[in-house]
Amino acid sequence: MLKNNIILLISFLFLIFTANANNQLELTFTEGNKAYNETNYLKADSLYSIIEKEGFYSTELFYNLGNTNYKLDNIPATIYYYEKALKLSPGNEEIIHNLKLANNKISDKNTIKTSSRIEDVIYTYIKTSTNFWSNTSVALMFICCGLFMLFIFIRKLKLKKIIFYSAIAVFIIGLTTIYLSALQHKKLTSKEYGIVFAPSIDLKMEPSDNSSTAFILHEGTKVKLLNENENWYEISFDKGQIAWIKKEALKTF
Amino acid sequence: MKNIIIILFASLFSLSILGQKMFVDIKTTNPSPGVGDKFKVSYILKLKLSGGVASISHNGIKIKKPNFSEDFVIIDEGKESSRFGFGNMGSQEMEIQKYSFILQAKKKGSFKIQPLTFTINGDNITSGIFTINVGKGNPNAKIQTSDPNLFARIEVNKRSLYKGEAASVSYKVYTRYNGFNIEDYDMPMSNGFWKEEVKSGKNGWPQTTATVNGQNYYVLTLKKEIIVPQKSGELKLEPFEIKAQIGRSFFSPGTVKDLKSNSPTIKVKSLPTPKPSDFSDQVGNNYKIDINYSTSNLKTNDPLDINVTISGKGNLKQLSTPQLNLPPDFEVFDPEIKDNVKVSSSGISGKKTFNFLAIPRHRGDYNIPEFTFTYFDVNSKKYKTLKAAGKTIKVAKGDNETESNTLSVNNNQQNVEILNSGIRHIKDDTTLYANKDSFYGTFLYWTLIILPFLIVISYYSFIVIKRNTQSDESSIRVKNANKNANNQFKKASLLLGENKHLEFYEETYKALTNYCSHKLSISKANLNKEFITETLESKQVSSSTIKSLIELLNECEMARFSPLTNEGAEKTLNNAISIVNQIEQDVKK
Repeated sequence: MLKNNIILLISFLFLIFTANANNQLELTFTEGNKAYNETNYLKADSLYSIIEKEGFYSTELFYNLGNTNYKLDNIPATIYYYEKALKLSPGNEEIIHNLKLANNKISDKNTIKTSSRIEDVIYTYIKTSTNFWSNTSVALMFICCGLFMLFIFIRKLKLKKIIFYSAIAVFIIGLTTIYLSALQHKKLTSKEYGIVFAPSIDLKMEPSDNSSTAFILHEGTKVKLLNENENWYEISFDKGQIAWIKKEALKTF
Repeated sequence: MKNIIIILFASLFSLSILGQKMFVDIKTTNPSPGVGDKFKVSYILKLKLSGGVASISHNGIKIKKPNFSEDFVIIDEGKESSRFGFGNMGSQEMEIQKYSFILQAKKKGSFKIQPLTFTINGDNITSGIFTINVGKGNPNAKIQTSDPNLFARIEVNKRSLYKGEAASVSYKVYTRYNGFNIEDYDMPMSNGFWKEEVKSGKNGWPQTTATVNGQNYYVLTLKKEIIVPQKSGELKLEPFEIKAQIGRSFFSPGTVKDLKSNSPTIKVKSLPTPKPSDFSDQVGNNYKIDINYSTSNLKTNDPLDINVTISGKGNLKQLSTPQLNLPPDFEVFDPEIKDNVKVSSSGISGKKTFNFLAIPRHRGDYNIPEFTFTYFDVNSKKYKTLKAAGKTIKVAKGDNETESNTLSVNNNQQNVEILNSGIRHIKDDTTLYANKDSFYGTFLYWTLIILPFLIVISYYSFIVIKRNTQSDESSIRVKNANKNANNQFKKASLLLGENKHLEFYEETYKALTNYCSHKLSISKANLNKEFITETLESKQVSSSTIKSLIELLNECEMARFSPLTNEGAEKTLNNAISIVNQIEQDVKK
């Protein structure tokens, strides 16, 4: 009972904390939707961008940004935001549909498929604020240890048994939340792909302007990041075509 | 008439001409014009008078003109006036003929004008050579490089258009020649325009007159067109070429001239973005739409006629078939198109009617959504959407509905694909998350994860150590229990030797209870017979031993109140020693 209450209390506190901070921006989001529905796409785009610049994110925000950029005929940005939304909500049917339409508008054929991994499937169910799982895991570990202490103290055999098993259960749940926070951390910080924003860009054999051109890519093309140095990314495109691209020509996610 | 007069005068004054001198005077309105300036040069044939009234008769004057054409444009030339015969009494000179040129300077420099010669009555009177200095002039002045009496022009009513907006173009020839005939002309193809000729009527375009730079011209219109630019940017209308005969009369065939018109540039603006998704590509004004349904109650497989009429001022000829958003259960056939579009020099206008035939394949009440038409209004420079109300069509079950089901299924699939071609709408609700620095993976995080375990482990080890020290004490006591008991028994036997029976039993009782307390780790407070029995039983001491121990304890208690004999006491002591040994052995097992 005590354990349940503590978990409830902690999640509740997190909810209140995050909700208060985001109220204002969620209003901005609604205003953006209104502008979008009035086909004032430029206004909608600037409103959504405010939220993004404030350092907030959500699948819907990226999805709506993708839609406004699509309406404004800004295809690389459209693809970039749809891919970002898809990273947060893998397998979302609406995003995949819109992304497909946007990809029809670019000149290079997109061959990199976003394969759905088990991690992605898990992530769709555990999506929550950035540090929720890591905070929860710390809390659970403390609870688990508290229970062990109780276990040591209490003499009554029956109660001792109950406490022991619940401590084990809390421990296992705690380990799971550590895994979930690792997964979330990876989702939010890893940069695996990039979208070409330059209208047309030469990709080099080596990370140098003087190197010979391997091939040319156009705006909106998705590439996989392999390596990086100060000014260049090593990328792969279309199975095994590896080359270097200038960092400013890409937006990574 | 002229000839008669000349003959008359010739007969009157033929004698008086003798002895009189003729010469050519040159006058110019501007001896140093600038490039592009127009000026007049006049050659005046004059007679010097020696006195009295003078007159001259002649059979016509021939003029040999100098060649100006390399350096000047001849805008006009001709005899300006000729007063012959009468001179004023006061003047010393008399003008016989004046021949003038209106010239325009083409380029900068100093030009020598060759002399002009008048031939009168067989005498050649030649003018002097004179020089014209052409200065820089006004750089913007338009130089007429071609014949000023004949030129071709393309005239456009608008020089700045939106893509898709109609403009009117006229192909015209301006001339001042009388005997003028167009032999041939070649109309160019200009890229980037959609064109439609304006019908001129049976007799062609009427000939008009116009004044250009103060000169009167006849204007022939060869062709009028409506052009609609199909792309944005600076578009050029290619020049047209004509071959014309001039100076043709009954007697002479005249000369043939080739002309090329100007080539105007039109600035085509692209339409503002973003374009509405249902934009019809129509640009113009005063559009109207009308939609008509033949019925609102019908049976499956009965035809439904839907008439869509779009009228307005704009390029209706290029209007493509509008999209009716009929429910997928309606099979729609390609419409029959009637158009009544007029192309006039003011633009394109009229109306276009699309007659759709739709056949419902399923019964039900269908809501046909409102029909919208979006065009770009050139007056307000905005997109405008016209709407015609939707309608509810009730379809009752027809005679052979089952047969048509397969058709409707096919139709359904097609429509689903069409509906899918737009992007999905935005999402309305969201929960935003702050993009904070990740807590996971930091040193603090791992410390906080491990810390509770460290606390528990250290706490547990503390407890264990504490317990161990406690159990050490008790084990020592257990070990020494036998020894202590034996010591007490020795003390008891000494008391027995001194015949102190009471003390003896007391000592024996103490020895036994202490032994039990130490050996079995029972606190003194819990030391009673029942608990001792229980504990010994749990330690699997044989019941006979327990029984004799309890008996012995009872005996000791009893003896303290009624002392027994020496023999009995000795027996008790031996019993006690043997029981302690017995317990010692049993517990060890």
